[in-house]
Amino acid sequence: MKRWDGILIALFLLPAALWLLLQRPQPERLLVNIYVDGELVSSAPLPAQATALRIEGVGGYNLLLLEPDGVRMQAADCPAGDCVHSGKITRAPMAIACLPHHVLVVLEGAAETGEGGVDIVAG
Amino acid sequence: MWRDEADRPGAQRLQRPTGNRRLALLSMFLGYALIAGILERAIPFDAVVPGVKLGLANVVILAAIYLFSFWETLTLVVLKCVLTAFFTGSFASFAYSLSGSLLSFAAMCLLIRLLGERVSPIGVSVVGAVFHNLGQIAAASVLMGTMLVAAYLPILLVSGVVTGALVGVAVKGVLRILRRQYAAYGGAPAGQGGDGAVQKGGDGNDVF
Repeated sequence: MKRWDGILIALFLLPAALWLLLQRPQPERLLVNIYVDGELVSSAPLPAQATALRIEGVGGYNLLLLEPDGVRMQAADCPAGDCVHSGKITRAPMAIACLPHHVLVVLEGAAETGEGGVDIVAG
Repeated sequence: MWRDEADRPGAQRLQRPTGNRRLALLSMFLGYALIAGILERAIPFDAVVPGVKLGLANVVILAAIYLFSFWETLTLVVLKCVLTAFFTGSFASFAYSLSGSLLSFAAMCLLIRLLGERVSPIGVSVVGAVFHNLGQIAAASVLMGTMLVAAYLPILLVSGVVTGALVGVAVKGVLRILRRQYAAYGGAPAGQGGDGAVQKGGDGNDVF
């Protein structure tokens, strides 16, 4: 280990530590906002029980699992399945994306959702 | 990258491969990088934090930066991304990996150019890993039109430091082994004629 190794490591760890200490608190109500092609198609709060939601993206589907503490992509028919391997998101403004289907699922606060959002669109 | 071969970190201890050996080693490096990329998927690092990777292929890339020229290593990086995408990916992951790899490569080259022997492969690798993550997040933000960066910044920095340090230690080991192998073959670090003394150990100031 040379001196600059330590300097660089400290340089990168410091903002991370600061960020973690100073981050804004989570918004009161977290909404799961689903965007297809940049447009908000669905907005729902985190449910009390695990609920599956099917998203019709461009060229395929994505199956989103909403749980009380977060959301994750359960299944999708896109070639690589990056979205399914993304794990679970639990904080705002984390997001899961399926690029081939132009789908973006973001956890946002009610205030940030704009125009009060749209209630779940069925079908 | 260096006008003078003597400026290259490790020049005293490890001569660059030349000729056929160079071509063979470079090609093998590409193979190793591809295998590393595929093997990585067997380890579910992903489950803990989305989008985090071990970055095993970067061991190869960083070792190549020390051994080969800028353009050769750049070719290695691009080919690695393209071929890995052929084997395992979609266009999306290709775009991410290319932007991350290129940014990481540029940052590492710049760092070595600026600091030379004052930084060890560990520091370079940490920088490389962090910038690799940055490049991927930046590409994701651009492709999706939102500012994802904010939430992922601390994870990106911490995981970059951790995985970068591990990769850096591995690179040090790889270069040390190569140095010893070249010594065993009678390859000498100094001069074309192979008349330089081979340093088997090294003092504590060695980069590798």
